[in-house]
Amino acid sequence: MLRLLLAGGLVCTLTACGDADTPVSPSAVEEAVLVHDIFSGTLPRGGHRSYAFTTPSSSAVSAMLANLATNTSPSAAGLRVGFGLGVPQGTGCALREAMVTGPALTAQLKGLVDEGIHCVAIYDTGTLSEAVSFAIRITHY
Amino acid sequence: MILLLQRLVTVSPTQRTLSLFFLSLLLTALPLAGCGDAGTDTPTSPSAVTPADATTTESFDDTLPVSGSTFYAFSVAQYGNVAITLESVSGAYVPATIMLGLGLGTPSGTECVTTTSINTPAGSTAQLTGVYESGVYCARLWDIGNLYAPAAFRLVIAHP
Repeated sequence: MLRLLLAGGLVCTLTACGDADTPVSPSAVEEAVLVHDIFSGTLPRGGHRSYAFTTPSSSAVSAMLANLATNTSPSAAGLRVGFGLGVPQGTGCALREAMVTGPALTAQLKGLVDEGIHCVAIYDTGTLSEAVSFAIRITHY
Repeated sequence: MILLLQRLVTVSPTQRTLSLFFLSLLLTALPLAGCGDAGTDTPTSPSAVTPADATTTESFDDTLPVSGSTFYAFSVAQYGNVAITLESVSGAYVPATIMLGLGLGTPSGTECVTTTSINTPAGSTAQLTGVYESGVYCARLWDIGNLYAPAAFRLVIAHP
């Protein structure tokens, strides 16, 4: 009897502790979604254009100037423009990295950015003789 | 507890059984008193953060076309007070008291997506004020349908 009562007390003790709530599965971790933005338009001679995008967390970013063309030169052979990555400032984009480049099928700009709003800019470095149409693909999370 | 065990030896079997029953209840109750969420601290209220004063002023002078819009992006360095003032509007066939749309938001794509806006004439007192987290924002100005000619304007943005 003594053993039974002590055992009962022990069982009660052991089963009473602990989290009485139903176990819950770990909350779903929000998966980062890869985003592709297409920025296209016309760059006037001597002008600049920029495009803002948001990264919800630190992210790898790549930007590909995929196409440049003029009305007189659809092939864009020899066309080169300024191309950069930065943060919106004023009426433009304060560039953190930039290059002079022509169109290609691989990303010309690659980098890591913090959470926040960023921008890609295209601008005439003084070499354009007329307006050019352009297409840029920006990839980020 | 030792006294209780010593007493058990000297009592009758019936009394011993009852005593042991209550002893088992005691053994159960004691650990229960220790159960609970040991990680629960006394909640503390979040400390109030005072918004920083505006320490930077940027001016945006440009011309607003008829039916057009324009915007200016700026960076807020820390949580604090932002004030936007449409100081002046002028031009041929443009009354100084003309109402324009004025908003504050964030750059997105080639636009400024406003989260707050008003229709206002120019004045020396900030028409838009608020407290904002650090980050990139934009002030947007647009014609709400009143312009018959392009309007020169001056927008002043004060922020931390």
